[in-house]
Amino acid sequence: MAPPFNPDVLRERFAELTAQRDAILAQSVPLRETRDAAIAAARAERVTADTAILAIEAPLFDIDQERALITRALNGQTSASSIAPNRRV
Amino acid sequence: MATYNKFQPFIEYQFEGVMNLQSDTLKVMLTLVAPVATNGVKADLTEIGAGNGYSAGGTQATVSTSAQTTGTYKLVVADVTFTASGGSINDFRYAVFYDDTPSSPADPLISWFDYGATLTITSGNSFTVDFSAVNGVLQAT
Repeated sequence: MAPPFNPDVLRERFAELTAQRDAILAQSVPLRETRDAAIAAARAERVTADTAILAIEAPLFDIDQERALITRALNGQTSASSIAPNRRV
Repeated sequence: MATYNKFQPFIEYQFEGVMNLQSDTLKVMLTLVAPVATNGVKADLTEIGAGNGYSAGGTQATVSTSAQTTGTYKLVVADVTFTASGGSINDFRYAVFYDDTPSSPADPLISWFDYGATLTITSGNSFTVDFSAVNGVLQAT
């Protein structure tokens, strides 16, 4: 047989759980804040590096696509011509 | 036509902040040993030996766009070309797309392409891993 519904007991238990929860978060929240600050600093540094990298590599996509296009056009036979550059016509 | 296959751990990596596909160094590596969908990192695979134009770890893939439209994310990268010089690049059948930037886990895998047969790139020749410029290398919703 289930115990009778007792609002006071439930409120007391609710308060206990709340106190347990608060005690746990009191320990973990400072660690979370330290962790989040470290991530934010690393991300800021990363954004700076990403921006520089992407600027340098901006022409790379077109280059890669054209190389692939040429590879397909030549059926993979991409080795350089044996004709010396100064003799090409 | 190569068939696309997704590594299963990849989806978890996305939701746990392991990868940034827009700015990480994405690469394509070659292997002759069939990958398994449950593989998670590059160390799970057996890459072909380096040499004759093939560098250990493969070749960088250049990101064109990494963005979402109406809730569907799409990653478009340039085709990746491997060129053999001074000899043939070791035989391979699978081209594996992975992220070379993360260190924990190191080099998480994204997807692989099965060409259905063993391929050889002989000296002076090139092979292109052809990614769709329209559909991208992957989409996620």
